[in-house]
Amino acid sequence: MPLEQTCLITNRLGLHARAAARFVNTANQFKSEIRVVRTDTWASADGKSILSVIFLAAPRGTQLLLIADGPDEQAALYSLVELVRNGFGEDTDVF
Amino acid sequence: MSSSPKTTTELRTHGLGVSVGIAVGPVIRMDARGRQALFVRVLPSRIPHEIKRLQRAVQTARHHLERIKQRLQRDFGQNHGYILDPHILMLEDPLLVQSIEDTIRTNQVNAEWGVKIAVGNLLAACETIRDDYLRERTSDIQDVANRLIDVLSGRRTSNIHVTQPSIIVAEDILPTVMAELDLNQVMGIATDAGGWTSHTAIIARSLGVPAVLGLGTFAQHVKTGDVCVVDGTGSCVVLNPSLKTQKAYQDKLAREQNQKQAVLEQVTLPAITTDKVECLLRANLELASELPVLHKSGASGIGLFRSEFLYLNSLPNLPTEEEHLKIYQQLVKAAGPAGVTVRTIDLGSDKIKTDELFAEEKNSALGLHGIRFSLKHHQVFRTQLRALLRAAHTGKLQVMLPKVGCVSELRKARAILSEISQELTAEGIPHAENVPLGVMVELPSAVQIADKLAQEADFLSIGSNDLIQYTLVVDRSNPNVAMLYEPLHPAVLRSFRLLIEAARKTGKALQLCGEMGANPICAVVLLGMGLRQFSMSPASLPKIKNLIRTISIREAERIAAIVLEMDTPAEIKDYLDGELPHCFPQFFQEPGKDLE
Repeated sequence: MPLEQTCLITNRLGLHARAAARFVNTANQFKSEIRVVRTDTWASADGKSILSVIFLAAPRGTQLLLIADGPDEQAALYSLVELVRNGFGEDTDVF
Repeated sequence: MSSSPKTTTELRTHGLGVSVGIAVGPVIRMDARGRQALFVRVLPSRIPHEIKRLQRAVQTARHHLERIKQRLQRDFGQNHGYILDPHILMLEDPLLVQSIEDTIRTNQVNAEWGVKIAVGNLLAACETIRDDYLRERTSDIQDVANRLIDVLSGRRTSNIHVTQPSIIVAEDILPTVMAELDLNQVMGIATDAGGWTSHTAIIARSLGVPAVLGLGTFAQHVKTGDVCVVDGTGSCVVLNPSLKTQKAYQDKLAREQNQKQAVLEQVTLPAITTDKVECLLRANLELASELPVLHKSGASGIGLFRSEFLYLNSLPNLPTEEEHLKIYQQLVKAAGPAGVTVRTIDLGSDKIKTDELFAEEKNSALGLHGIRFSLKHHQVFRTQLRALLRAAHTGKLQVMLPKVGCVSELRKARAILSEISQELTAEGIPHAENVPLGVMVELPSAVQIADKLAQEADFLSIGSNDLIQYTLVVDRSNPNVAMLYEPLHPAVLRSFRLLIEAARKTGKALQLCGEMGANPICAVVLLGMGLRQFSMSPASLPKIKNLIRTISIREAERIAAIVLEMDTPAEIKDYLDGELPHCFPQFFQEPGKDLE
């Protein structure tokens, strides 16, 4: 049974190339298949393909639905949701 | 190659200074001619061969990028290697390789042409991206395509060797090409294309190399060996500068370096004016990892610790009492007898949207933030206050409440604090019985009741960034009104006057924390109005300490009195621009007089 969870893009620059690289590098650490879906347009991407993720062109404030399917889906989903919520390790432009 | 006009007379061009500083030196002109992929129709029997060539080229390009990445990490630290991660991942992405292979098969073409067509199709899909930054970033895909074509056609992507300190001039610099340069030798960068968020700008800033981008049609006038000035501070470049211009810039450069040196030498000295008035300079911090810079900056303790990162770092959970405590104890220890002021949680729905506690609001600037949030979500507030009282037991710590607008908010917070103290006593946990409790004045309502707040609070702190925004009703991130954000607006200065008076009458401490205090021109006015305590980012402290040590309060008071009589921010700025270099020449050099 695949797992899914929503999260918001909080970093100032959105899901740009470097953020996408962090996402894909994290996704690649797991065996599970990863789908990334924008909940506003329902455009979806393969979470292990950087081009696919970049083409989502998701700016700050976009809600993503992450779906993980596979033997390590729980760990994969947890790590990826954390990464998105932490602004891909970039500034979250808080102040 | 077209014969572009080459100028030998001085050519000054204005652009976007994306990285400050000045560099004068010989140019290396990088040529960004478009690569021409050769179109060859191939026989069906040759298609597997072309596919193999492509796969080999992908491997070669990847190894090449890995090598550059390692070199970047070695020379500039781990953080700089990630710049090339997107490119490396793209070369590993089946979506890219597969679509090129499909193109080769379907169109029966050579690998070079396959790359060109397939990437062209991918890029066409990007044109519809509305977000400027995200669209600009798709240039990374073109960058990767160029590399593949170069490898396939046996060309070197960059034959530029920077063997001596040089200024790089180009139409544009693709990130992987930039990364390949010997960045230790790059003195300055000037390009026709690019903006604040381009890779070139990001790299230039992180390496501290002066850079002016967005120069339009500058590069066509430049050839390797020309002499060029890059003035990132003044947002301009000068090609073939006259000896006089060169000298002026070299003098300016030397002066900046001397000033920086003088400023650094003074950090350990007290912040005292020439007429012996002592001031207090503290640091604004938001991460415990910043503590090492605290002492280097010459700060007398921490004037503002923003606790928000504690919350952001532990999402989706809230930080536990022990997590709070650990950080606060570190702060107390590092700040020593000078002490630390911790601001309780100040997150609004605009700042973080990832938790149900922070439900989205239509107008978050006027919504549930600061102390309002804390009083609504008691438990979150209590956890933080418990940790603060416990940390205060180990050293000097005071608590500051953000966005207070009414005396009742202060009273409620004080009541909660005393409940918590009793609670901790009952539990037998060591803690401070009482901590100084202050308010951050950020709302115009707080200014109007400054006298009342000063009576009940143990100290006041001006949060100038927000106070200015709320007083002038200007959102600094909105480009339509950002220019109306005027720290020297008479309305702002009158607010400060009310606060300074209230503090004076009650004998309570008053400090200003915000960028305004780090601006030397504003700082003179604030000192002249009677402010003596400032808290700012550690990087700004040495400069302001240097300012304080070169001015006299009597002169600053005279200037402030004149400023307070003026009608508009423009009038005030004009006056200060003329008056300050005259009154305090050691600090306020006449700007750019020798350069034009």
